[in-house]
Amino acid sequence: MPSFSSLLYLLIFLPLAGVLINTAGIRVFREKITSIIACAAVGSALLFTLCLLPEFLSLPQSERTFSVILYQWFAEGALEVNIGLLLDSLSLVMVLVVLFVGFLIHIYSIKYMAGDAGFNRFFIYLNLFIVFMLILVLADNLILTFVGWEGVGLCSYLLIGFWHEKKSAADAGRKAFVVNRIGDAGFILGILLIIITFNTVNYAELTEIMNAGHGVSIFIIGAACLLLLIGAMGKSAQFPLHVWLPDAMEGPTPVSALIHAATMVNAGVYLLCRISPLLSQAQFILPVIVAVGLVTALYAAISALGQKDIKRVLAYSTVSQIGFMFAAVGSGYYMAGIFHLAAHGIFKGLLFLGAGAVIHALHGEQDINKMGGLSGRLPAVAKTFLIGLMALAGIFPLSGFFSKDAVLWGVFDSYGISLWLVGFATALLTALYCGKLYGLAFSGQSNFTEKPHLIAAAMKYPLIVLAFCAAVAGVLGLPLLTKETIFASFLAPSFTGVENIHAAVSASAHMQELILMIIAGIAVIFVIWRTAIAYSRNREAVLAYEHNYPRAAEFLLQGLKMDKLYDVILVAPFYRLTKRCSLFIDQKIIDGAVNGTGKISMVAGHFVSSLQSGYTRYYACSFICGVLIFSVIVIWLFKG
Amino acid sequence: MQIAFPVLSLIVFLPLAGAVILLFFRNRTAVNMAALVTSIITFALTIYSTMCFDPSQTGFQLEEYLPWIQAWGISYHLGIDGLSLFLLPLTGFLSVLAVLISWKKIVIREKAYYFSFLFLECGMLGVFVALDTILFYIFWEAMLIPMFLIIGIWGGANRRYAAIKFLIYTMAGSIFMLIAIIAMAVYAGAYGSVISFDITVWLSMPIPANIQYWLFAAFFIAFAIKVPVFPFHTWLPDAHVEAPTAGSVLLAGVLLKMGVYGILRFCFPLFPDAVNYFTDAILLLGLIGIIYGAFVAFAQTDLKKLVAYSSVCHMGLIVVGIFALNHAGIKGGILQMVNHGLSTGALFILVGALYERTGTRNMEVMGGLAKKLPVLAAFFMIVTLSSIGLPGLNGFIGEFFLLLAAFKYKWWLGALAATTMILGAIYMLWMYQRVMFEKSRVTTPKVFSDFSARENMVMVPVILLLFFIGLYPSYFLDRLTGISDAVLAGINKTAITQNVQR
Repeated sequence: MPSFSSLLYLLIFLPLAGVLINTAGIRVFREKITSIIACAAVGSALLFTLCLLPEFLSLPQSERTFSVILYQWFAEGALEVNIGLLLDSLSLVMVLVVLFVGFLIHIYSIKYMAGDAGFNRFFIYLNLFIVFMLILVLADNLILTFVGWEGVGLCSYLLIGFWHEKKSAADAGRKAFVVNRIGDAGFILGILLIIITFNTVNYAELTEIMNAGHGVSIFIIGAACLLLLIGAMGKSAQFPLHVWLPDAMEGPTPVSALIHAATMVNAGVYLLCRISPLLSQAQFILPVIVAVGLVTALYAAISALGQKDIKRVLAYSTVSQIGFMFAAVGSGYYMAGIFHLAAHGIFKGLLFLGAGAVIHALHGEQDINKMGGLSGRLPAVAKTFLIGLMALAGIFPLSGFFSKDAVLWGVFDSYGISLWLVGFATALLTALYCGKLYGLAFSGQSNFTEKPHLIAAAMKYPLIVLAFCAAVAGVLGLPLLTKETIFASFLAPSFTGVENIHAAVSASAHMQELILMIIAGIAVIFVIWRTAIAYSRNREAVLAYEHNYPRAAEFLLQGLKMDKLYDVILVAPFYRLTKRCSLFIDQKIIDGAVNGTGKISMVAGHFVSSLQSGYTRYYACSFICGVLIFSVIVIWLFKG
Repeated sequence: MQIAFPVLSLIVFLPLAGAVILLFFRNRTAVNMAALVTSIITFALTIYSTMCFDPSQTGFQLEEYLPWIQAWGISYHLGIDGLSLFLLPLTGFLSVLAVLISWKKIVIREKAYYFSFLFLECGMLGVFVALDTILFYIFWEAMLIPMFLIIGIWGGANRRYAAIKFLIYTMAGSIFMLIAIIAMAVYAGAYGSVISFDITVWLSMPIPANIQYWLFAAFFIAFAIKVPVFPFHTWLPDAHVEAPTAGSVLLAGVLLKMGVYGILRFCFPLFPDAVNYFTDAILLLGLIGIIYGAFVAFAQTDLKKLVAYSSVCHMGLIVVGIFALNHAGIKGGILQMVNHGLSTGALFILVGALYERTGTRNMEVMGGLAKKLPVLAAFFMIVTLSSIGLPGLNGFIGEFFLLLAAFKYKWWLGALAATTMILGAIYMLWMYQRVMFEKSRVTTPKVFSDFSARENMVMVPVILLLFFIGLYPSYFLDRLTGISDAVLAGINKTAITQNVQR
């Protein structure tokens, strides 16, 4: 039987082949050829993973790890860094999400991007993104993860700024890259600290060291975790490094769906799960992660309420939901975090694709206030979008209900009722903006006069597939009220020795969980229903609020003016400082000194050369003066 | 490996022979071809010397020795070790590129131009292989003259100022070095009763710490100007902006490397006490170079000036890395020299190509070029990414090693040096956007031709090399282990004794 595991690297080479072939033919390939190659590259990788799955599942839980080393990348002293891949249940989940959602989005993009001048370039970038994302999740060491990490950042930069003639798009791409680089600097420093402390970056070796007695201060481990957390916050757009994600909506919508909802932005959560052995040793870091997660979740949910652009609503919602994942990780409930990651990847991918379909149909209109009544005109989109929104809000029995409940329970279990309330409030806000979005855009009366475009089949079917998955993926979260859900037991081998701290859940806790779940479930349904009704029936009355309180509306629209704050405290001073360095220090002081030295020697030269006048009497005079001065010195010297 | 013919002498003097030969040609094409053929054969020979090198051995290899002025202990002594190993092919490679990008672009005194170029190549290669300090000094100074001419004759509008500034700045440093070289020779005479200018002789004699401080300072100033270390950098932007493209490529690609080469060749092995003594101060200068260089780069509107200041940042990081005094730093520093030579050389080639097409280097009036010049834009993107250290490309490996070195020395040094990741992205991507993205800011639309076959021939090998170093750095790093051991041996020994004494 051919062992698929030994061919693990094919998973990366298949999409890479797509990149190379399409790059070679960028000038000559027609849209059809390019799209077939690109989709086949991702599709074959997906197929390959599905072939791998039975072999993976046939193994006993403890042996579910495939690893392949291609070659040694570099070594320094005792440190060895390999180009090596690791497939365990955690990375398998990530690979499946990336390839499954990625494949559907490739299909969807064929029609969405049809006729664009940069069609071929788009698919090259998209395939390249898949390559780097797979490197990120399959890497067996931190540095190779970092390769994927920066690579997806690059693709994100290129794709956000895909329509780079637009200044706003080019700016947004650059902003994303720079903000991510701030996080990445933290990531690199974390890696360096780990290298210096443990002399390895390999995940398996690190886990081994952590499980054995290592004698390293937990504060050093904590510092390394904190630095890696900064990296995770940058990539996953967590407060206060979230500012790039709303702007990233300048990119084409499939990009927002793939990169800025389903895959790349979740990389931070994945990283934290990968380093869970370290986190479990430095428990005092966990509250920081929870704080980051919940602050982000609440902040972004509030900001989402005030957005007018359909994509920006979803962008803030993404930030908020990743905050939930961070909260789960910070509670020690890694599997709940990954579960929410997978569920969110599906339903948010669906929502973005739905939004893309709406924008496409409405000739590029993105303002939800100008939409309305779309359910009649785009029934398939409306239905799938509603499923997505309900999953996002967490309505029973859709996937979001299970995953969000798991997260909220984790927060309650580790930190008690007060933090649970924060999470609960965020869930209510989520329901609120979901209701608003549906009410404004899809129900009520149509505000749009032109005839909408038809939605092509290539765009419709991915929506339907994703909607189906968003609806039923909750099954993986069964049976309820236990930690041993289907999903968790699948993931468990990746987290051995990490979650035991929470293993014993008492019967009374089950009771509490049930009560909290019912409260949250009912409240969410109530809120989303009432809001949707309010926005569709009494549209004018509700929107009047915005007109009556323009400053508050503006404040929400600008995401609590965080960008403005950064402009004032960071960007503007930086500009001033650079100008000052260039014009004042470099040109005036340093070059002034250099040119000054030159001038002095010129002046001295002129003076000396003027002595050479050619008149004999001057020479005679200076000769006599010289002799006199010299004699005086000699006499004075020999006198003493 | 025993080699029948003196390969190093051939490498050094072949360009000179070529320079003389091309004087006899009348035809423009013939002159061009002569220069190209000479540089290609030289490049092939440098590759050959790299292949002959045995990384398992310590010390100098492919040595050539001839007594020259015996009374003063001056000899003709050549040899290579891990330090010069990759700098030779780098010089050979960039020289070929320099000839190719000058192809039919030089309109005045073509013969003199190529003569200067090959003369310059001879000087550069000589610096990297000379083991006798007088010989070294001759090559070092001889190299200045053709560069002075290249900037001063074939340069831009303000070429005279730039050429003279370059010459005087560098000469001022060289004076100190000459004094120190003579002092060392005299000291060698006092110590071993025979005056000697040979490095291999110097390496074997102990030098008292108080003398080391002075000699180190004298050597260091000469090299610091060349690197350039802040605040000795202001010749660089002027020289780069005024120099013709090929001049900029060699200036950034090779001449700046001589500073670091000199520090590692002379300062580290000869004056270990002084290195330990001055480390902190020099690290500070390097750090200022990284951050300050980035700030100034960001404020530029001239594309070439921006790239010039980015060199100040990169070289600052190399200085920080090597003065962290550990293996990662030495290896990373040497590798990053090669990386910087390739990436910045490529950047200057691209800037030159842009200038030929748009007639400006002012980023305020560029823009929207990605659409008109897609191939050039793609190359420019890759080189930009290499310059900001994207993993998978060469810049990352060097940067990673240097940051590791800094972090090993003091964690906060690593943290401050790591700002280069952020700052580099800020100014390089801002540059890229102003040049390539948005809409064209020039009112009159122009028709541009994208990269020609000749330009592709120049860029494709560079790009392949960037990927090769990024993906398989072990080829280089494995060959640097010996030299980093050798360079650090003395330093660590004195550091230990100093600590014991304290």
